[in-house]
Order: sequence, then C-alpha cells, then structure tokens
Amino acid sequence: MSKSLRMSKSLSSVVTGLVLLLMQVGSSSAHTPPTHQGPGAMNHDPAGGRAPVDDSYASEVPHEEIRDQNQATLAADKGEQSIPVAEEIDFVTGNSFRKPFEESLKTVAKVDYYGTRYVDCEQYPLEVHTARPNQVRLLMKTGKSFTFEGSKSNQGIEVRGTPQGLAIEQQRALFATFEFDTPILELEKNPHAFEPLGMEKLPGMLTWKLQADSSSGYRQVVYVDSHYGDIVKLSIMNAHGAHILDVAPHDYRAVDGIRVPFAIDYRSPDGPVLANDRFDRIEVKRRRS
Amino acid sequence: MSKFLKSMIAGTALLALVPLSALPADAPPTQKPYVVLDKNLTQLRADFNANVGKVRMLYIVGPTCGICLRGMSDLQESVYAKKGDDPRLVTFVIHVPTLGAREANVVPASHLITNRHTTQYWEETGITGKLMQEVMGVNKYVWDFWTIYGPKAVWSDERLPPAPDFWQHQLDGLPIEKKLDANAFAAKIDGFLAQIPAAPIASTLGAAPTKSE
Repeated sequence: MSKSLRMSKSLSSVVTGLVLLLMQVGSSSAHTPPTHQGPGAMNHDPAGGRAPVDDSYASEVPHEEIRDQNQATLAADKGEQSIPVAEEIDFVTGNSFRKPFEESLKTVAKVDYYGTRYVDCEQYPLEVHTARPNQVRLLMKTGKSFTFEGSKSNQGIEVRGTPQGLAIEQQRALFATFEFDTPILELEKNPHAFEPLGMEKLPGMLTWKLQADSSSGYRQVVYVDSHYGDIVKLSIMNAHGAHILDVAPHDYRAVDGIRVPFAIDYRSPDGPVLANDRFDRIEVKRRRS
Repeated sequence: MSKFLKSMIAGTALLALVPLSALPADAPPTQKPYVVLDKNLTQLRADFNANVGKVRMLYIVGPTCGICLRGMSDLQESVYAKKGDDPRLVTFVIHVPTLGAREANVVPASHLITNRHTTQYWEETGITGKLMQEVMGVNKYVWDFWTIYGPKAVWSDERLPPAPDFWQHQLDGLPIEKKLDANAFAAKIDGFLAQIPAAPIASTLGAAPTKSE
C-alpha cells in the first residue's frame, strides 16, 4: 500500500509535471510575440474586444469628408508596395506647385537637350531633340562620325546604328512611349489617359503611380513625385508584358518656365545601371503666337 | 489506480507531442499591427498619459488620403529616419474613416512610418477629428492634422484631448502659415527634445520603454 502510495505520488507528480508542461505550451501559444513594439501595443488587446458596430462607421465624419468614396473606387494595383488611395487623379492634376509650369509648357513647341551619355567608363556626346506632337530624335557620337541615330515621327520609329548602353529593343521602347506633354497635361486632355494605381514609396519620396498603354503595344508605369509633379521613374513593359527597362529622370530644374530633368538613369529590370544621360544645356522653343 | 495513472500519463504525454498547430483553435488570432480604438478613445488616452515626460506626436490621418500619406512619408524622412528610435519620442497615428477608408487600409498606410515608438490606431467612427475640432475651436472637421505635445502635457479631460503645443495641417480653410512643413516640424521636435535629458544609450537598445509596461 505504501509502495502503491509512493508510486501513486510519484506518478501524480509526473502527471502534474506534464500538465504544467502543457500549460506552458498553451501559454506560449497564447502570447504570440506582437509584430509591433510601439507604446500602446503591448499592454492591451488591440482589437479592444469591442470594435464599433457597422452603423457607427464614419458616423462622426461630415459627409463632405467622405465624398461617397467606397473601396471599389480606390486606386491600387496588386504590387506589394502599392498603397490604395482615393481620388488619385484629382490629386495628381490638382498639384498647385506644378500649375504654372504646366501652363507654360502648353506654349512650348520644342525642347532640345545637349549633353553626354555615360556607359561604364565611356562617354558619348548626345543630342535629344523633342517637338510636338510626341516627336523625338536622338543623335549620339562615338568618334568622328555619328554611330547612332534614332527618331520617332509621324512616319514611325527609325533606328540606325547601335545605341550605347541600351539594347535596340529598349531604345525603341523609349521612342515608342515618348510623350511631349506631362501626365498632368495628358490627364487634362483625357481624364482616362492614365489608370491610377495608388501610391508607392521610392527612396526618399512618395509617388503617385499611373499606368498608360501605348498604341504601339508598350505599357508604362509612371511614378510621379507627390510634391513636385515630376516623373521620377518609368517602368516600361513590352507587348508581352515583360518588364524591359526602368528610366529615372532626376535633377529637375526650371528652364524658361518649364521643369526639365538634367539627368536620366537607365536600369535593366533586375537593377544594374545601363547608362546615364547628363545634360549641360537645355533649350526651350515656344510656338509662334 | 496505477493503471489509471499510467493511462493518464500516456494520454498526457501523447497530448504533449501533438503539434501546436493541431491544438484547438481557441488561441487568440495574431495580434494586429495597430490598435482599434473605442469611441471614448480610451486606449489612446491611456497611452498618451503613460508617456508623460516624453515628446509626443499625435497625427490624425485618412489612410487612403494621398496627401495624408505624403505627410507621413515626409515626416518619416525628416523625423524618424534621422532621429532613429529615440525613446524620448512617442508617436500616435490615428487613422479615421475619411474618403471611404476602411480598417483594411490601415496596414498599407502604416508602413510609411517605421519607428519602434509609434503606435497606429484605427478609430472607426471618426470622432477623433470632431473632438480635435472642438479643442482647436475651428469650424471644420480636423484631419490631416499633425501635432506635438511637450513632455508635461497630460490628457486630463474625460473626453477631449489636450490642446497641442504645436500643430500643422494640410487642410483648406486653416491658416496657410501652419501648413505641414516636415523640416519645420522636425525642428520643433528638436526644441521639445531639448527639454528632456538624452536617454542612456542602453535604453535605446531595449524594447520600447513606456511607463505603462
């Protein structure tokens, strides 16, 4: 009996130990480490245990601040970095900083860029001549004679020679998607010129993300600086949806009343820099009134 | 008895071997990365008062409002990216349902501020903006609103938050000289921080040291 008792005590202490072990296991599963370490997140149930019922949703917000928006009207793409936003096009076109530059651009007929293309350790004199409507001609020297000339005009795209830094397909895509006007002016002419895709954070800035399908079959996603309205990145996809080039204009300055980039970087979709264009002179020519 | 105990041990031991995933689903769901507030803002008030002695920022934003998001992004660049996780700075971001925003919109927007001492809140009725409107004495629902409270500020009223020591906004109808300027806002924070001794280096390495913990 006493043996049985000892045995029983011993067994019950084992049982107790196992039960305690299980309790610890249960306890640890109930205290999933919080994903957030902020001041209010550790000391209470974040759901509050009593989330407001549906009829209290926005009950204290004046109607004019709701503006009949609903989730279906939010702009967003499926990209993990995209943030859904309301009324994106209105905010893009309503940029007050940009207004005077956009108005000024309406009377510009041509913009000519003079500078250099840098590819690895090589550099090539570069001229880019742009004109309404959506015409562009690029000349690049590699020595005593032109080695590359490309253009987009009413007659289509023509390419002679090999562009430095970019593949022919990439250079063609650049010509095909070239727009003389900014997205803001394009949207003024046609509110459906771009599909809004929400916002995305690029290094140092938050951008409006817009998508346009070109008649040539290319698709481009345009990233617009949410402060200054400058295009800071373009991603170009070919007709098959393959991402073929990223373009990053920067160093924007005001020249004769319009905003123009003095630098453009080209990157392949997997990241490496292909070429950099740097302009030391940009000339703006206005329409004759 | 012995048999009974043995079978209990065996049963318990087997239970102990069951993977956690197979346990009954009575464990709480994964914690949200934000706090859902009640209409009395109970938790916000508690968090605010738990951090007396620190510089506190309180932002009222719409999580689908692009201009609000830009404000958050600007402050990330001007304040949080530069000051790191200074434990003397505590931030409360209250997301309200303007422009049709829903709770699901909080998480994507909240990524714009990356700081250990920042708590994001979802307040579904939008009363936060109404209460701040009352505090500020303005004739406009207050959101897209950015405030700083010095270390002495206490939320003593049962209902209304205290008046901010400094504020900026991105609204039409409020003073244009008070429009959000992230650099000016960051400079103001520096001014308030100067009132608090710098934290020992060791405390910046640990978890968020709030008074409520």
